[in-house]
Amino acid sequence: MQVTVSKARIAEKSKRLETAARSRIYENIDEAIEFLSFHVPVDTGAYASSMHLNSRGDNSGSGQTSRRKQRGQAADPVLNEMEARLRTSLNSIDLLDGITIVNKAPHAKYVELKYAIFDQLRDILR
Amino acid sequence: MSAIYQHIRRALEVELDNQAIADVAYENISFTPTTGTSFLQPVFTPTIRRPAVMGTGPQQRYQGIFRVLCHAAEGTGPSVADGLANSVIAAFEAATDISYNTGSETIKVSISYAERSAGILDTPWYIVPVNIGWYIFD
Repeated sequence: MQVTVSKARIAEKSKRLETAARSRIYENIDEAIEFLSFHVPVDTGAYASSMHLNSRGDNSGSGQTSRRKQRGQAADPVLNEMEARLRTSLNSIDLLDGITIVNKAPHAKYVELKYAIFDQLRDILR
Repeated sequence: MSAIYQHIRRALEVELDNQAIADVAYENISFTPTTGTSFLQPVFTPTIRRPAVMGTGPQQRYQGIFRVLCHAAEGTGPSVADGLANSVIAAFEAATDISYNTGSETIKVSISYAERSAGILDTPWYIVPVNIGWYIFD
């Protein structure tokens, strides 16, 4: 008896698997961005502006301080800008490599202590 | 369904209270900490409510975090807050169920993980957050 598997068929199946995996990861990250766009607190807007979505392991990005910034900013424009920026990053990253969401604001740890944004995100994506 | 969140909160808070690890500052209840005396501050944070199965009228899976902020006095080193965090993690070990009698039924809140993160100084307290992941089907 003999079984022969065509390389072309394996390649095709592998491609379909990759596409399915990419789509599933995209859905999860899309949900994460949706969560952030509803739950990120806005006061000066510095925290939201310091949120970045990068390739896995890349924790680069600009961090804005909240010092000397006007408090009580309207949340919608700030969150819309953040969401648009994160979605642009989402579409430019190879999702099979994984992603890193990072906040570079100097006061991020205090925001985390009070609002647990990343803890909630971890719980949702787990 | 309407009271499920209250029941989950009570189940977790009663369990924390039963452990008698330290004083507990519950949400929206007046609490005046004594300077230098450690205390725990639980924060109930639901994250997800989703149908557990397809079809009409499905059972729902509820999920969230029970955060316990372990407060120790500033300037006393990390060991007190670390000890509190260890006790909380041990009390809510992963893969355990917490039973709670609501008066009409007994619910079981399952613990999926218990983990801590880095301590942070928030004068006059040094705080170590412990996150307890929970879920329940209802």
